[in-house]
Amino acid sequence: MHGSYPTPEGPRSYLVSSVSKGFGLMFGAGTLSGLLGIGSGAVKVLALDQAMKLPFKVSTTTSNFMIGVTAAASAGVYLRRGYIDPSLAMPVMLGVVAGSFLGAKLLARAKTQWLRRVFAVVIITMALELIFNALTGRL
Amino acid sequence: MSFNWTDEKTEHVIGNLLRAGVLISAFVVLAGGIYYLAQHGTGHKDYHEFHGQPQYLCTVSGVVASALKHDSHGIIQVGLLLLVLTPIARVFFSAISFGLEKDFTYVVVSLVVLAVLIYGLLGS
Repeated sequence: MHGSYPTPEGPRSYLVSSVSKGFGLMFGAGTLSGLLGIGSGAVKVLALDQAMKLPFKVSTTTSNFMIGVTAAASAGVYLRRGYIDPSLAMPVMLGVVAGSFLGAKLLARAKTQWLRRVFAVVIITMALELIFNALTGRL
Repeated sequence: MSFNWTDEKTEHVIGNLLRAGVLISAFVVLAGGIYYLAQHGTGHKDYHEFHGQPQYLCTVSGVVASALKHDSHGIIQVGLLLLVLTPIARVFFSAISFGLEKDFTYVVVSLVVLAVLIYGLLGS
């Protein structure tokens, strides 16, 4: 499999490797997010970036898109069970939409090296939070 | 109009579709939210205990019906439904564009995903 993605210097092509390893890691990511309620986006980005060797920006955007589709599947189920409170969802949705438009605009210009650092800080924070919650018995 | 669509053209159309879907849903949620705050903004809502939503907000048809009756909860919920429908529409258009490219493996994959999404929303 191969593809290309736009950069300021024109489109750059890339190759996708170890699809089966990626499949296995994605299975693990899905199981983890179902069990722990953590966004499996972090695990997906790692699988796409490290195992399948996709460019970092392609990894983050692909992971984000996959989450959109899988979240749509569960959102339907939540709605039918009455788990979506409109008064709570309203500010959350508006904030997230505004933030994601800004993020998507910034992504096109951001340096990959800088993005990797931000990503590392975010997953380390997530890991520390999970460890803290597990040790204090909140999980 | 010819169907000689390139990948880039399809991606451009789908990109605009996604942006439009998200912006329209955000606008509907914002309108519903302002209406909601005007009606209930001064009250204090207790979130300590979880209460499920009333039955009429649990189905697509019920949500649309309550929005048409100018219920602020219903309007917000319609906006959220539009947001959920955006990726579903995207999967639908992927299936079509894979079909135009005669890439039938991916047409089947897209249709399976689409079936799961529609089942999740309408369900049994």
